[in-house]
Amino acid sequence: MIAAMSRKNLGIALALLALGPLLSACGGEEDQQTITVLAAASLTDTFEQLAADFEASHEGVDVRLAFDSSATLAAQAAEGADADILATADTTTMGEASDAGAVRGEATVFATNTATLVVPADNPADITTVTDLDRDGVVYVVCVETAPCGKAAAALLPAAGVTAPPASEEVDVKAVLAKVTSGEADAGVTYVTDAVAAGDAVRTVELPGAEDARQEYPIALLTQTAEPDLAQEFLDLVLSEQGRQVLADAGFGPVA
Amino acid sequence: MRPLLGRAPAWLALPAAVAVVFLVVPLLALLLQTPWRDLLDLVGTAEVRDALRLTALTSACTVVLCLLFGTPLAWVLARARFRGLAALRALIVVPLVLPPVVAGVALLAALGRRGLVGEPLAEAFGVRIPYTTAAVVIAHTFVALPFFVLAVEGAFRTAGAEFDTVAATLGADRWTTFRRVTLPLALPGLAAGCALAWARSLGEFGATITFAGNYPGATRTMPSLIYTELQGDPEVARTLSLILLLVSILVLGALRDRWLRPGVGG
Amino acid sequence: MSGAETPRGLRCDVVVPGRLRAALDLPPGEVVAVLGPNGAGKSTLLHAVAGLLGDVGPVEVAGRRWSGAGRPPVLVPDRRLGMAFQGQLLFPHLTALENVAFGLRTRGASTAEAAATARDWLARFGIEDLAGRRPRQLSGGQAQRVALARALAPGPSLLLLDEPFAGLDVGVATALRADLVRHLAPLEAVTLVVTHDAVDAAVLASRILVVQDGEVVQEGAPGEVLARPATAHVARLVGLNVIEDDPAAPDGPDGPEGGAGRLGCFRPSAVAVSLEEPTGSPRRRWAGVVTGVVRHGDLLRVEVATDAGPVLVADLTPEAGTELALDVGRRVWLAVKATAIDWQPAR
Repeated sequence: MIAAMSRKNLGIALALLALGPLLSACGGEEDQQTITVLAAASLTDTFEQLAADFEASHEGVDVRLAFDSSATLAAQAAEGADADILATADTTTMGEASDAGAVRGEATVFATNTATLVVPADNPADITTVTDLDRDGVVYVVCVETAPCGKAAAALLPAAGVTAPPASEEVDVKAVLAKVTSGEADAGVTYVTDAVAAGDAVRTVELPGAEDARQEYPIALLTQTAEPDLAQEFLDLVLSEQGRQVLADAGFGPVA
Repeated sequence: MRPLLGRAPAWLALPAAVAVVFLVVPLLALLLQTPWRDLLDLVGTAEVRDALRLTALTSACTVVLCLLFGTPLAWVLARARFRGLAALRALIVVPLVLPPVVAGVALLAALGRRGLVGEPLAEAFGVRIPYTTAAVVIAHTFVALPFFVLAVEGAFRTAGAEFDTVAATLGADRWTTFRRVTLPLALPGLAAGCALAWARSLGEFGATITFAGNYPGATRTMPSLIYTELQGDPEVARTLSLILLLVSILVLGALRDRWLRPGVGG
Repeated sequence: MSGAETPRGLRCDVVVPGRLRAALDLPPGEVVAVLGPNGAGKSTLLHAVAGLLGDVGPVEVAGRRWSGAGRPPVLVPDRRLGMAFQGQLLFPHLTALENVAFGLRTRGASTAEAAATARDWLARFGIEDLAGRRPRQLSGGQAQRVALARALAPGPSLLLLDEPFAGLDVGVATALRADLVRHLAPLEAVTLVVTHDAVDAAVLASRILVVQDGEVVQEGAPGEVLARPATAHVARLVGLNVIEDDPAAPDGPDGPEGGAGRLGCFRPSAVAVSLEEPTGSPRRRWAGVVTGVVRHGDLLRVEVATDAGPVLVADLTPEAGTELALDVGRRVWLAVKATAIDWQPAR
């Protein structure tokens, strides 16, 4: 039978056989579903955990995560980036996305975060209170003022009586943390969750007034979502008891 | 009075046209979509003036360092003969291939507070390099030097080793030959190298922010300022981008294409 | 050695593996023409003696050891050399005056002194009005004069000229040659001139060196070498017919017994041209086809491609040519008396 097939037909048959699995992989509805979540950098560990849990309980679902600074993500969402959910580290950036019409419905606050001072584990500059930052030779870094954690630092440090300027304004919390853990800076202003994530590499020093100026983390569905129901399920997971536990373990505070 | 060779072939002219459009349209879009009235206001602010001043200072220093250290290196690569020359050339080109942030990380590993050279330097002399303007110049030079060396090495090659021989028979030792024959003949290439190094320095961001940091007045160059503003006010970022673009066009226009065309003799 | 006079001139024994081997002993002031086919090693000889090919053996110039004797060789810039290269290689970014002054300034002369001497030399070559011009604004002949002035100005102990008249118009070359003779006459330096022209060799040189396959195969006074060339190359250069010994030749060679490996030279005027096969006394003869007929002075020069191989040239009176109705394509016979052939061992 096969021998009777002409060469050309055999070639076509082989090609189809090869393409088959490929075609079914691309957008086959029964086989694979994907949702894309844009999340602030400080949500890295928690959302990776939640995404894994979600994938485990939802067969054939793939959760793609994109972590970046809140401002960058909000801008991407506003530009119509191909995503389903946006979770930022402050309400202002979520507001920007919402103003651009990218938010579907209302955003919900799902966690809070407190700013804190972090120092390297061995604390080479011997920093015990926030006013130690004013000491000669102490090098500390913060986020750029236009980022949420930077705004926090800009408000809290002068209020605590610190007059010395930072040595540098980093692009995001991760960069601040990197400088501190590598020893390039004696201290940095990050969130409690970042300190928890860094584990033994850093120690925290309380930042006066931080508790009262907690950062609110909103999460929302995006208007451009291709999987509204599935995305809503993920959102529900984040807001559920399970989600709150994961967030609390990482150091996030409860919704006020 | 040119030979009758015919028009440029379509197979060349068309892709070339596509390349032109590809390069020019984003610039045009930036020019057209940016609110021009804010431009003058912004240029007046202290932050922008600081950033512009810093950018001008660091890029000028970068060019000078490239001239002082890159020119001799280019000469060695073009003229000297020793085993491992090819390996050396490959090594020097590596910063070109590195993502700028990785270059910054490498610089920290070497010159940071806990760096290979930085730590002993800090302990012995109290010298701290990161977070200083000097660090910015170092970062810029690190990424711009390979461009400069490649451009100038090319110029030294075409300047002809045969003239070296002629000069030697006329009694010139190698240093005299370099000063009076090789260097003058390679001047257009040197200028092109300077233009490249300056341009690279102007746009340098990743290595700078990783190694030198980002603080107004000391280390916040124009690209860093633009990125900072991008976090808060994208419109401002756009306008600042436009300012940087206009500055670049002004300087490159002043050079005209005399020095950007390699191989043009004096 | 006499011991009283220090040896001067050029003495060398250089070996460039695979390319050249030459041992020379030339008195001061000698002008030597170096002849030979392309690739023979003529330029190599110049480069070797100049030190441009590394340390290739002992070289001694004007009593000073440049290399050899187990000591580190003298570097090229420290040798009192004057070299003119093929293609002139004038520094494009300097004026003619600055080019000529270059070799003086490197040896310590001030800008003013060097400029004065340079101007003097330009004047000697008749081009002082070109002092301010850049090389690209000079004609071939003018550039060659500047190159020669540049080589001569520092007063070298050894002058090396690599085909100084190549590419120049005949008139320009002749004039320049005459100038060069004048300038070389008073020099103590030894001059080596590579050339492809027998007349250059005859006019300029007091000695000729013939180089072939990396060896010096003939050396002597111009009159001698050009009259009795030992190489086919030089023979053709001076316009002689050249044949290689062929033991199977019907009438056998005259002269000493010998096998292959001999060169025979004879003048075009010794060749008889006929339309029929010549008979009579022992003669070398060839049949062939006329490939060219040209006036050569008062005579007619006929070029014939012989069936046996070599291209031979015969000189006839114009009347004889007309009588034979010689024209391109005509089949003719050439003959030459055995006694008219000058045999030499082939080199």
